[in-house]
Amino acid sequence: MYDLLIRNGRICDGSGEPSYVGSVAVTAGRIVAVGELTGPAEKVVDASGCVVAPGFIDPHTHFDAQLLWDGAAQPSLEHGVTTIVPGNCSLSLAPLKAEHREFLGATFRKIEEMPKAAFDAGINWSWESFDDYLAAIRDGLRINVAPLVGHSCLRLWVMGMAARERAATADEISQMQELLRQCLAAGAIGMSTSWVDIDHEHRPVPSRFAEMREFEALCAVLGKVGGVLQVVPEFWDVDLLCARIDILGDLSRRYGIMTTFSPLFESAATPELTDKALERVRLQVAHGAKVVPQMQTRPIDLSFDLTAPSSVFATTPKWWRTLLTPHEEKLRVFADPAMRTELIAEAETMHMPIGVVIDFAATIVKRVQCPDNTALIGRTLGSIAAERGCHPIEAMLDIALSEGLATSFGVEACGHADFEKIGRFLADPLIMIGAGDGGAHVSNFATYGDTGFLFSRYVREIRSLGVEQAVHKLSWDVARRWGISDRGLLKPGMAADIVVFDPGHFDRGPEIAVEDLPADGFRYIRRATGMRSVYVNGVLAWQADGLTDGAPAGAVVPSRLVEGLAL
Amino acid sequence: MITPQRRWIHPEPGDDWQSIARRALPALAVDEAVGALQSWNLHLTFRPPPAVITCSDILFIEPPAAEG
Repeated sequence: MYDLLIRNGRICDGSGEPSYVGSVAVTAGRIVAVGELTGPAEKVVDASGCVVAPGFIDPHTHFDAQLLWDGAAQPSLEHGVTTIVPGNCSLSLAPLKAEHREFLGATFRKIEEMPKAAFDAGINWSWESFDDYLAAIRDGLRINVAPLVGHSCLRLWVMGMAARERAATADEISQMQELLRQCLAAGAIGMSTSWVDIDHEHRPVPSRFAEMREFEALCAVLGKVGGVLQVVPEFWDVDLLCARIDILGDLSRRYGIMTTFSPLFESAATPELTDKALERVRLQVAHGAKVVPQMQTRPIDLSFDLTAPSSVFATTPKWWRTLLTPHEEKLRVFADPAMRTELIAEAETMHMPIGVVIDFAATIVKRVQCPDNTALIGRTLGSIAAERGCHPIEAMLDIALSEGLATSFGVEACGHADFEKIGRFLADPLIMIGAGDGGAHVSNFATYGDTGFLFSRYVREIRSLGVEQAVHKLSWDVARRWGISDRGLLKPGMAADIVVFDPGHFDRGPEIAVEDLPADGFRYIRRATGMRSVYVNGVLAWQADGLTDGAPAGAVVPSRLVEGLAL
Repeated sequence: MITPQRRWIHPEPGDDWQSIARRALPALAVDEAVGALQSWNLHLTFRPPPAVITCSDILFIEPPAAEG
């Protein structure tokens, strides 16, 4: 007798091969049969009219903190995601010595835009080692986790705060190698690094101080066990990105590792970028390298306020310098007519930052603090300015000044919005769907629902991918690249991560604010529509009315690394 | 061997524009070389404060290709 039999569904098995109507049988958390099956089974589910597919894998998340208070990484499950990869961009929460918690925490919160109150209230620092961090999250997992270890954390552990100042010595590099081995043995799927991120004091994150010999040494360790290297490159500049692709190609060939960079996104500011980058990737792949760009499905949304510098102002030095000043000075400058004229002039001629197009007139008021400003929420600065007879930037400054600069402004679809072009890229075998950033930017915009958006926009509307291909790109295409060999396919012997959804309605919902963070914090999320049920390791983890109350069934995956590791 | 699309180097520990210029463009006077390097590397020249240059940065040692 099977534990579970999902019958009469349209089986998209993750391979990309044509679908067919059939059943999937599960016993002890594993798929045991697929095809024309009759049972018997302890639980029978009728999936008529639905697609039955492998659970989706999200290869770029920052759920490291959230997993400590929410082992389901909500709302990932309802979007069909059954395995997440946290620890991207050089930042994990382990290994981390107690004396570095404040620095790493501030850096994590700055880069991933997480409120301090939620972070502090939600985290009980009970670990230092990577192994102990996994122990802290393991029992509560309702989703599978394939964690990366952050290069910046390795440097901090070995070098202390000198990690954010200088290159490592040969001895320090050896210590980092040993530490990386320990993390991989504990369950890390690979290492992440960053060549672009800055910390809360606007200094480069520790990983950026590494010389090439340090990268090489760490990649040599990854190569011993098939570990993955994830990187954030200068994704907005063609020449820089192509140089980074060449570096990744060299590392991949030399150490036999899969390298992946995120994001690759389409940019109206540099429209040639994606084609040239993919051409470079194709060249590297033709020469035997594994260099895999991650591309998200949704357009780029950004949000910002005027309390501190952000990427929106990265190419406007006057704005940046002003935003670095103390609060009272910012208030003075933003109210000064002469300074306003200078700031407006600079913004009107700005070189677009990080490949996005910032149009202040189209920027919306996203969140306000004063009740008097509530009516402005959702309105563009252009429309407000027209009403007030001023420049959109003056309107922005006036609104921000009226509430102590606490106003949040949103720039929606400011990049990655040429859907016809993106559809071709998403379908390209060289490109992995990822870079979603789940768990990050929580109080600024929603990073969820890329899976549903793939189906609504690119499968149903633009038709750049078929249903089978879309399922493949979200499941086995990711699993095989990351070495997660027992997930991503509906085949006997595979882990029973299964999603059942309506292919005509699977989509992301609108962005909404929910108050579910620790310390009564709020965040932006998106609900899913059209998802019917989600199984993790054979256990029903989510159904249309929400999370189930069964025992947590998530796992840390994969475990294969341990076997190949010589400590 | 894949030819770089545009030749570049990594800065070395302790480097500044002058030392990079002497190493990367020895045929030019230092001031001239620094000017050239800075014009080819606006991502470093105009990096927002505190404008730290690190050993993992890409530093181009030739100009961008002319747009064809």
